[in-house]
Amino acid sequence: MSKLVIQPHGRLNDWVADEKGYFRDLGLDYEINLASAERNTQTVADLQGAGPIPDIVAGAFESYREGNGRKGGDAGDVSCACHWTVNQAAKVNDGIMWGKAYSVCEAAIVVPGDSAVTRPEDLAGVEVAVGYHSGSHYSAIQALEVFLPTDDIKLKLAGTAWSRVDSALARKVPAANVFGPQLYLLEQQGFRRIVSTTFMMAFMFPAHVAAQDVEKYIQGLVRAQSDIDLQPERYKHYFLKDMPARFHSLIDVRRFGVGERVVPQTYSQLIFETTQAWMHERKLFDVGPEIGVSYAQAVSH
Amino acid sequence: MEKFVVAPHFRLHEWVAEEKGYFAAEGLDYEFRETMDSKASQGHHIGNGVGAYQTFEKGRECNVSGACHWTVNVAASNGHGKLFAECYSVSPAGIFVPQDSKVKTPADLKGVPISVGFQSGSHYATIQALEQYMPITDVELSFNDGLLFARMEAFIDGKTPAVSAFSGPYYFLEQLGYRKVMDTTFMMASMITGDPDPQDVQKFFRALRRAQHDIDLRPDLYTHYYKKEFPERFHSVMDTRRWGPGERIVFEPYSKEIYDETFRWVGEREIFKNASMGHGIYEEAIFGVAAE
Repeated sequence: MSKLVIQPHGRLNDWVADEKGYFRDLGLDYEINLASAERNTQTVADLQGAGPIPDIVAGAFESYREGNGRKGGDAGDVSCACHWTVNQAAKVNDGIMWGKAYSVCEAAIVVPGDSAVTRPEDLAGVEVAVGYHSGSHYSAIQALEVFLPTDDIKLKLAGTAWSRVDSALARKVPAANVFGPQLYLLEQQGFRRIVSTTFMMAFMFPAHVAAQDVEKYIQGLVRAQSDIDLQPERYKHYFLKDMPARFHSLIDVRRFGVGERVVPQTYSQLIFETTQAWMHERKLFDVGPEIGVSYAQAVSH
Repeated sequence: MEKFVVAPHFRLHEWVAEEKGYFAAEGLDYEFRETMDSKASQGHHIGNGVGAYQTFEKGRECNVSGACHWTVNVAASNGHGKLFAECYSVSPAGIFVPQDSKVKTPADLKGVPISVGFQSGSHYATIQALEQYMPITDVELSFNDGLLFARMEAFIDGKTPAVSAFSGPYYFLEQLGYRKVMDTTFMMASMITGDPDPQDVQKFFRALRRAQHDIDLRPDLYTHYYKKEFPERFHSVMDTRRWGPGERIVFEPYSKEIYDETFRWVGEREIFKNASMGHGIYEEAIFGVAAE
């Protein structure tokens, strides 16, 4: 039996379960691959230069393709991303989606405190930093199309979650869609929420990874969720674990919210197919809904 | 058969379940009946130093209602109803100040009156959050402004310097530009009162579970339901499309471990006089399957 390599996702559950021994109690042999969590996509030169930052036309979906179900070649056996990307990656058979649980995370489009943007309508034609084919991409569309015609929604493909924080702090983008700790960090830096973009996430693993191990992992996370719900103050320090050190001096994690939460409910066939339809209506991928496998093949129960 | 009486809790689920016909699909004969009138903010001002716990003491005229888990825990311990132990809920919450307030950090709140509801979620949650920064004796709580909407209105009208708010009011204060000093997200629980058919209770929660799925997938489709329970004075200003999903129901047990830990936490902080904490016996306090 090989160790299950866990790729953390900026949430508290993994660390609480580790601290409390929940994974071990379940007989899971595991390690947490922290190095893969800090991946960044904007260089210091990009951020400090006079010009605009480059577009990063790759994101979570492309990482799953590169990693054959891992979120990148060097990433863990089990990982998490927005449900749209995991859904499509599983549909085209890049990996297996876990169907017995999903997660939800508080997210929002934020602007600097002194921005002229005060309402979602003010974002017409204003660049909003998102990660390509990542949760911020889809959730920004879902939230903004309530207010704006599609042509007025202007997304800037600014890279990973922490890259968007870098870009926002460097004032390289006028608005950013961020979730969990990135959202709380920017709020503490005086950024204002313009619209909630709270969204669902899902778990993914390569086909050769034992589903029983994934099940134990998820059970550990669910158990940890109760601890976090009861007394979140005890555990918020774990936000520092996945946060690049350059941000630590900027924030007081005791003021943060609870971030991503694991929901032990089914990612049903109805949700799967509704989400497929939503993505393909907006032509977010090169292939259409006819390409790929069925729900039963894509999603593990 | 009498109707199953539901007291909504300023959340989206009841309205989504009704819209989608989930209660009807379960065969539940029900009606909604508010614990307090939310059409006007003052409907939530039921007296100084009178809060959620006192509404349980007085007796709620419904079969199921919600409140923070601390109050439901102790109220159930005193026989004012049974805590439904098969799920709980969680809501984003925070302490807010005006944009131009001198309060920048939680430590700045020392000695600043924070408007909370007596023996209501905001009371306990504010203590839980602020005791990381200061001794409990330095936390100044004001119980003079009633419950959620009354406190929110007093704050918006400039009558209080800081307020603790959750769910809809939390998003509304954000929309209006108030500054969140810190997050105080907290747990809630459901209380069963009267003598409902246990099958009706199960039907009710099965419907809410389905609604939670819908809310998770497309919160933007349902946030307009915040207007169902919000003072009419503010309706024209509210843009609920900007708001988050608020309270969520967690279909995991409110276990004996959680119950005992919470009972101990409340007792240690002397939020109730010791003699009024009740028996504190989980098995006697809960409705539903006892959970380890």
